[in-house]
Amino acid sequence: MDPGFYLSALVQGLAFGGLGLGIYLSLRIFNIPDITTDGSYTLGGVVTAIGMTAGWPPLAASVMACAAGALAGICSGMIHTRLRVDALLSGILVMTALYSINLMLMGRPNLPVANDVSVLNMIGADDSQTAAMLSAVVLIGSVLVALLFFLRSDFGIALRATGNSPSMARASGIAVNSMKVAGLGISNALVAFSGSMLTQYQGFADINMGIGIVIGGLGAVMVGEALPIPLLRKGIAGVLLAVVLGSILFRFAIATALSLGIDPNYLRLMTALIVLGIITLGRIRKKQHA
Amino acid sequence: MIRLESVCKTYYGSFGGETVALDQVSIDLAQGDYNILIGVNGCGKSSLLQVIAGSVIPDSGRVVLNELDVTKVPEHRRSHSLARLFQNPLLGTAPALSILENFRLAALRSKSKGLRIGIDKAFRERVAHQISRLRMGLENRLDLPMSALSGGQRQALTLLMGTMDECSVILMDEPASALDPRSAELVMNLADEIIRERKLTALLVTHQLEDCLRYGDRVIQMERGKIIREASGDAKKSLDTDTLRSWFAKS
Repeated sequence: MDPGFYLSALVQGLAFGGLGLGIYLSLRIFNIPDITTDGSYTLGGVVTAIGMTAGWPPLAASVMACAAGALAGICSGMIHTRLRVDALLSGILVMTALYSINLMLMGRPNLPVANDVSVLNMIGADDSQTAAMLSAVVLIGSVLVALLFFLRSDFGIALRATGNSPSMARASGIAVNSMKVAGLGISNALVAFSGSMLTQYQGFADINMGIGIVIGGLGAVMVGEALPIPLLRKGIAGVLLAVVLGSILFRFAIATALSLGIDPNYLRLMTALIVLGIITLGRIRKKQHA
Repeated sequence: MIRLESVCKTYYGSFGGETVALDQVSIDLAQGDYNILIGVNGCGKSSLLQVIAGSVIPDSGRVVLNELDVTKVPEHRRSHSLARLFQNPLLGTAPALSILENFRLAALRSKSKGLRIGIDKAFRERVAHQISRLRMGLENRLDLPMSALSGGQRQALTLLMGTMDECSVILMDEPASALDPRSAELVMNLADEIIRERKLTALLVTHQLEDCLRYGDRVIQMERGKIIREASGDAKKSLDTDTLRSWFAKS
């Protein structure tokens, strides 16, 4: 197999790391299957494409994409906590609304960006794939370090307690609802960051790029949790690292399947089946342990 | 300290029917009052605790804490001086967080939770010192997740967490009823020790009549949302289980 093929899967896996980490936050820390993801991922791409077309530096475009994603998450969080709409439904509402907003922002369904200067060639190398890989490692590495610091800070502990034990959180003077809003904001900022990186990598933003993307995040989290490496069970640092590794392995699985000649039109069916397979395997393993 | 003035709370079932949990309840507790609350199931004991803690907002009446009207103040904004022990020992701690992280949150109960790493060496030593009084050896395992501990250990830690800083009130809703006899004894004695030592205003809900004899300075009985009987001072001291049992006899 051509090494460039796997290098490309590796870059994609790293770029989708933010998506995995975002889903980890909403799904594992808050127990919310947050569908806003599909919309905020596209939003991240759209903001990046518009920004770069307007001549912003690539990194600035990515930062703005994160801010836009955070805003989308905050909307979902507010609808869920203030209007007391079911978390799943609030996500669906915001995701649906974002489709129109993304179209409105771009003015058309597809916007190309020149990617000769992008966050994925911040670091120079002999060929563009290696440069993209190194840049992605640095970017995701920085996100990991920042997220790790955040989750271990006093605020982060309060955030984790909120999803884990609301009764304890309230007894500790934590405003549970505000924490949920903040958590969904951060989660969707991470998702939008992935959207921004992928847009810069593939050179365009597309209105449909986010459809079903939430499954990729779920897959990353679940593959990460299934990895039989004891180090990855140790503390929050291990878990975050596992999610990024899970994201990479998940992309490898998809790339391998495509290389076996599966019609790209069946890509999403295959993705869904892979995730279903991982869940089922996890169930079987748990049963054996019990 | 704690004052309830004609507090009422009625629950409406989703299939019709209404339950009067609190019916014009008034009570005045001074700092250091140590009360045992008894009564048949559904008499309003837990509702009384929840109204004080803020997890239930009364339909009418006033709740006054430390001379402040807190009737409408949400739970998380009055938790700073309140320690709570739930019947379910799992409710008082966050299972996925380590012992140390749980204590960190308890220490920040009345403070803002900022973007700084608050768990340093000094804090670790402070928590280790506090936990060592349990003699469970947990002071050397501070990074263990709470989920790895037994119900009794978690309940004991919840108690220490709730009372680690400024705390003037402790509300306990059958804190030992889900525990094995040895853990129950340990948790009840630890609670008793801390309440006496810190002169806390305490409300203990229990179904164990022996608890009424061993702990507290006043016994309060509720029925159908009202306080119907109480005994304090010498009357409380001279109580025996037969007398208490007769309180529960059908009238």
